[in-house]
Amino acid sequence: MRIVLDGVSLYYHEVASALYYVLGSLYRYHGYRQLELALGTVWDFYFRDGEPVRFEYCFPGPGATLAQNLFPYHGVEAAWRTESDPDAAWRTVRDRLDRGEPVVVAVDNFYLPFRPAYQDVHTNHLLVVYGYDEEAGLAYVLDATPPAYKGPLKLDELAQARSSRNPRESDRHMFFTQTPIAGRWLDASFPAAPREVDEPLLRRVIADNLKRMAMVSQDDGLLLGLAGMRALGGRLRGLARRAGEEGAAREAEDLTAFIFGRMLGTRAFHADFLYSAACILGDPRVRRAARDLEIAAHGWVATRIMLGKGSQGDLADMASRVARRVLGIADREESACEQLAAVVD
Amino acid sequence: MRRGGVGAMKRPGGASGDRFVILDLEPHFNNDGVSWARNLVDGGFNVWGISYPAEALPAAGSVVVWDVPFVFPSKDDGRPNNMAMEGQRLPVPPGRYRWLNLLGASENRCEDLITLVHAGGPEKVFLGLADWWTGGTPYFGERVAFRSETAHYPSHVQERMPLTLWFQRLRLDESRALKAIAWPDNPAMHVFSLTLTRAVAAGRKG
Repeated sequence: MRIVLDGVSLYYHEVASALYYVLGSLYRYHGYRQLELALGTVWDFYFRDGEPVRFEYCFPGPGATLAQNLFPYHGVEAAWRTESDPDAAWRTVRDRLDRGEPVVVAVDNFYLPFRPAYQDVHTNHLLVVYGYDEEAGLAYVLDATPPAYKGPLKLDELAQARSSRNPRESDRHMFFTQTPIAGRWLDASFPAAPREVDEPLLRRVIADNLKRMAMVSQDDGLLLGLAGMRALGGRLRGLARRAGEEGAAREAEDLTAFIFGRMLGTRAFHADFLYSAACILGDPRVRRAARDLEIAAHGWVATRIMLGKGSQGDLADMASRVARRVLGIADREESACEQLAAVVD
Repeated sequence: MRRGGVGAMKRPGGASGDRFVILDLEPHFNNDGVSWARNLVDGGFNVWGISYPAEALPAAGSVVVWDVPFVFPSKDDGRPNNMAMEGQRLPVPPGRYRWLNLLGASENRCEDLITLVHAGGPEKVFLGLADWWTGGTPYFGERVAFRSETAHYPSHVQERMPLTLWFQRLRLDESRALKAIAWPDNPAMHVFSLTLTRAVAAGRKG
């Protein structure tokens, strides 16, 4: 049997992670055009000690599912599932394709011939599967991460990539290794028609986000809101002091992965959300907040690069510099909060 | 190699006089972002050791990009050829300037505040640089200076992976004499060459 779904397109964003690329492809397939109004709604800060972050699909948050944490306003349901048996993992994807639904799956790039890491470096990644031809032994996959690829992949290579232990075997295996792929796939369902984004919804989103950013955690292991962001700055200063100790470099790698997976996309997409909201609401204060978030997004880019370099080099120096930057970004995000508070008062 | 807007070699200044001031960045270089295919482990623009192909970049020395003269750095193995911004201060021949022109790129898209040190005090302005890696989309008004067809990974030459070096420029306040430029602490942003365009004297167009 052969099924190849039409209308599944590549989506790429140069600041966000692959999670946003695959979600962008799904949202477009289901009729959404302004992705920032769908994927850019949530602006928060959430960091929990010990929460796994070495997944490109990782998006820790207070909710139980990805949809609850990243896009709770549009009636979309999405949760990660795992399937340890490779045959069952494929049947799950095939059944969805038979129903006309492209499927997001986690993979290890080591087994994908079109990835630069092929047969070289283990690292987890995300693909959209949009078809299959079982007689030919092929799946059809889409990968927007450069070098972008849309086309066939041998089913046995896909199975290997989906069942990989994703081991860390050398110093070049950084950030997204040591997390078994485990047949992970995204169980997603979309409403029949995209929900219209109107003024009441925009104001609700803004008000909800102000509450998220004002949250204060009573738990030392959970950092929330602006206060939590500033507490992260304090932790980075502590990491700088412990730079020579065992585990410090791995902690820096974890934080790099957290910033990449959790911070860059939320800030970049929420900046775009606010730019669009400013046009719809006709409010220059929302536009100024959008600019603050855009600057913050680029600040998080800098911290990701700095901490990544620090994990491989002079961590004591770099972690203290990143701590200063994080406090500066918190000030910028607080400025956005002040602009928006006046909008919803 | 594909280039954008690169004209024939001109002597800086040329018939219009000393219109340009090319800064010597070499003492500040702290990153080797270029490698030759015969030695891929040389260099590493980013933490994964990925680098621009030397074969796709101009020879060291004078080069004109979008009508602005630059000095392109050495591409020799083992030599740094760009400065990742880490708070360095660049002295400038004191004078009034119209444009700050540079060849550079960011790891991811990035922007930050740079400090222009004037005779009357410092001024902070945003400078943005688009991503080197995506093959392409300017974000802050950049133009393509050079673009490769491939990327150099430590273990192989990656096809279908264009890398871009951008031409970016920043309008300066011509009424104030500039003495120095101070970069932010932001090593995501890299500069390979920098040229200042002098302010146009009163009564002349430029």
